[in-house]
Parts: sequence; structure tokens; C-alpha cells
Amino acid sequence: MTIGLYSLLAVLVLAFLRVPLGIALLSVSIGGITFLNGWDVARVMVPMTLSEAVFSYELAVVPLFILMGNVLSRTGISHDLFRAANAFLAPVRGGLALATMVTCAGFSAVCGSSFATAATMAKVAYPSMQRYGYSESLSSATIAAGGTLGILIPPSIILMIYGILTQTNIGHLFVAGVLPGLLGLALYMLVIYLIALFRPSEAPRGDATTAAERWSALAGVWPFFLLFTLIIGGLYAGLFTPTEAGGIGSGVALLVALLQRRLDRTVLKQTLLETAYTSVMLYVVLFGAMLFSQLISFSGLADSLLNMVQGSGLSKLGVLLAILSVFLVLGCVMDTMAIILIFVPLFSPTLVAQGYDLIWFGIIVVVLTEIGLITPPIGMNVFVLKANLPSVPVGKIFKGLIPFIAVDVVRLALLVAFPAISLILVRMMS
Amino acid sequence: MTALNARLQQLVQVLLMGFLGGMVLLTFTDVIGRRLFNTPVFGAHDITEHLMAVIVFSGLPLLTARRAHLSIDLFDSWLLRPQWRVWHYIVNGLIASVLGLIAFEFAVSVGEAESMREVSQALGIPRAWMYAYLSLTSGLAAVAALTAGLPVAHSTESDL
Repeated sequence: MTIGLYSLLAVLVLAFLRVPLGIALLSVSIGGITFLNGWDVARVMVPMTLSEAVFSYELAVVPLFILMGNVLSRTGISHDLFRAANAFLAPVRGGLALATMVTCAGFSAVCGSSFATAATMAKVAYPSMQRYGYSESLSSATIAAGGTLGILIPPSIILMIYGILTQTNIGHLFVAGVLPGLLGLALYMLVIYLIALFRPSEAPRGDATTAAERWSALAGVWPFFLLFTLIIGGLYAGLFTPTEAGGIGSGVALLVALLQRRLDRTVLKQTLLETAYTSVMLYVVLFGAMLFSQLISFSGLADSLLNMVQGSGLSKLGVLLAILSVFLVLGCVMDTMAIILIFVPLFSPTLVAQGYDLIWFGIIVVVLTEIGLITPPIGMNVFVLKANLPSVPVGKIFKGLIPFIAVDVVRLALLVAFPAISLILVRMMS
Repeated sequence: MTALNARLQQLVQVLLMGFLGGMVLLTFTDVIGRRLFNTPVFGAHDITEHLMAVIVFSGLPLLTARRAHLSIDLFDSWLLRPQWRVWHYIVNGLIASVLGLIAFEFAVSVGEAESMREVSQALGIPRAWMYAYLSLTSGLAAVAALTAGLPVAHSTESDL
């Protein structure tokens, strides 16, 4: 157990000292396994673990969904989605912010990345909101909060990584993320509506649109509906495995982009290369995380934690709340991916022993890390936004985010109290 | 040397794009064939697995050379000061050591796979060749780590 604890500490220190996360995990794991089981065991485990990860059909889901998101991001679907949402919601008070939130959710459904959603929406929606006199605080906070939906509404890169690490069904995780994602969207929209109602100067009404304009705007978003229906429908109906859904999603996205002449040679080249680099980067951290899981298992740290929990006299709910608090604090100071890679393998045996469902817990962890993305001091989404909107002070963005964080906490409580919100669709699938 | 390096990088980029595009085409065709016409592409899973391995390990030297591995840049304003230069060279050494070990162990696996006649399930692709490729690219990545230089601000955060 001591070796496990020291290893955990060593990974954290190295990662914060800018050693690449995958290399920190790999080097500490090799050192730890050598200390516990000898050099011969450690060196055999390196190629074995890497081969297991790299020659896996199931893991090919990662680049396929990343490619789909990259193709769609570069073909202007975010503009089409915003135009459509705006055509319907602009006449309502706070309509532009509401349209931004709906677009964030829609873009998340094909993108899978919080940072990409926030960065894209900063360019697409922020200028419009400023033009119509929305406050800087509400405009920027809407985008930062909306961006967090990217890691929950499927397909989500974080959920894929969680599924691989905990060996839970990625398709089930995607389906489980649908209702909590929609709940998040509904609560965020409620916040905007209330702000517009009580502080009308912050969110004025937009221009009215005609029925013809609304239908014309809607016609531009058919690829989005087609892809979402194909992927989630296919997974829900059991037609596709997640990897197959990724193949269909990326193939259809490429076909649509080519048919609409939105993908020239240069853009296609950039998209493929960006996908390849992101995939390689994720695989390297996955290699490290998989070897680190082995070290945690050899060191007996997860078992000791389990024994400690069982001997502590804490109730089942008490254990869960303690673990959630750890994730909540980590979310405020650490990168989302690092939290999932390092701490999920540590806590998952305890949760399974307590009878918790790992699919439900995956959704809870993602919601927790979503909160971490918009809370100080780190709040990565806020910094992504700041990088794209240098004129907006960080303090103003954080201030605007307070009501969004509050409803996130409400959503978390609802998801913990009613696991059916996450699991009902999965159960209906089964 | 610089021109050769640039040519090599271009070649690897073309390979990466080709392999990734091929993988998408293969998976798409296989799923359509399997679900609509009940005729999947024979060995599609096997080829996808091998393409995945080739993509990941072909990209590894490029990613390492660009210092683009996923890193936490929380303390960049402090860690990127000149007095931390030595530390970053030590980190480069650590990256090179880990990648070098991977290269060495895959090289050992080549001999083992040959002696066991290890092949893939459906198409019987010899694994020894694959291990040799993984060893070669990991070795190149180790060299790239040593020549990568110092990190720069905001260069390594992933887009997740």
C-alpha cells in the first residue's frame, strides 16, 4: 500500500512539474512494479500492456469519433446550429444566450470536447451577443458553462477513456450521458431565462424572425440530426458497437462535408493530421494509465482503501460522498483527463464493492469534472475562453459563472439521489 | 540534415493521413456491408487493429519532436523561467529513457514472436514485423525527445 501511495504522489509531483502525463505514469509504474515484483516482471509488462492497448479493435473508437468531431468543427456546423437556434429563440428575452446554450449542446453532441466547444462558440456566438448589448459577464459565462456540456453529451472523449479504464461498455456510457446532458442544458437555460427576467439590461430581446426564416435556418442543420440519430439511435438499438458507430459517424461526416463542398484538400489534410496527433497523445496517456492500474493492483492500494472504508463505519452514502468530495476538490485544481486516469482506477474497486454502478459513477465523475472546468482557481474552460476573448477579465467570467455552478451542484445532487436519470435509458436498452 | 528531417516528417504525415483515412473507409465499408448486405469485409477487425498500431507508433516520433504530449501547464509561468532549463533537459532524458525502454522491449518481442510464430487471428499477419516497426518508431521517438529542446508556453495542452 505504501508503494502505491508514494507512486500516486510521485505521478502528481512529476505531472505538475511538466513531465508529460503519459511519461509520468509510465516511468512511475515501471519503477513501482520493479520495486514490488522485480525488473523482469516490469520489463515484460511494458510491451504486453502497450500491445494490449494498441492492437485493440475496441480502442479504435477513439480516433474515429475524434475525426468526426474535427470534420464537423471545420465545416461550419456550429454556425448553422447557431443560426437555427437563434432563428427560433432570438425574439425571446435572453434569446441569444439561450440559442448559444442550445448550440453548445448541439455542437457537443458531435464534437465530444469541452475546450473545442468553448473555443468555437467564443468565435461564433460572443460577437453576436455583444452586438445586441448582452453583458460581458453573461455572454462569456454562457459560453464557458455551455462548453462543459461537451464532455457529457455523447460522443464524449472523457467517457470513452473512462469506459476503457473501467472496462465498462462505452455504448452504455454514451446512452447514459444523454438525459443528464439534457438536464444540464435545461438547468443552464433556466438560469439564463431567470437572469434575463430579473436583470433585463444584461440580456435584451433580439430581432423577430419570420416562419420562412426559421424553416430556412433549420434546413442547414440536417447533417447534425442525421449523425446524432445514426450514432445514438444505432447504439441504443444495438445496431452498432461503439467502434462501428464511430466508423459510421466519421464516414458520414466526411461524405456530407465533401458533398456540401465544405472540405477542400487543405482542410481535409489538417483535419486528418489533427485527429492523428490527438489520438497518439491520448494513446500515450492510456498506455501510462493502463500500466499504472497494474501497479495500483500489485501495490494493494485499492484493496487497502476498500478495507479502510469498510472498517471506517461510514454508511454507503457516506463513502460515496467522501469520494465525490475528493473528485470535486481535484476538479478545481487538476486537469480533467489526469483526474480520470489517476483516480478512477483507485476508487472504482471500492465503489463496485459498495454496490454502485460504474456506468452511473462515470456520469457522476464527468459532471464533477464539468464543475471543475468552470470553478476557480483553474477552471480550464474559463482560460480557453480568455485565450479567445482576451478583452474579457477572468474575474468577470467567474462572476458570471456563479449561477451556472449553483445549478450544476443541483444537477449533481439530483443525479446522485436518482441514479435512474442516468441509467433508465441503459436499462431500457438491455 | 534539416532538409532530410523535414522530408521524413512530411513522409510520416502522409502515411498518417493515408492510414487514418484508410481505417475510416474500412470501418465504414465493413459496417455497411455487415449491417445492410450481410457481407462484412473479411479481416476488417484485424486490419483496423494493425492500422491503429501503425498510426499511434508512426505519430509518436512526430509528437515527441514537437513536445506535444499531454502535459499539465498549471505552473508554466514559473517552470518556464530560464533557471528551470536543466530540469527540462532532465525531463527530456526521462522521456527518452522510457521510449528507449519501449523500443528495446519491442525489439526483444520480435525474436520471441518469431520463435512462437505469433500471427494475427483472422489474416495471419506475422506479429514480429509489427513489433519491429513499433520498436523502430519508439527508438526514433526516443532520439526525438533528446533533440526536442525546451518547452514553450501553451504548446502542450490537449484539446479535450
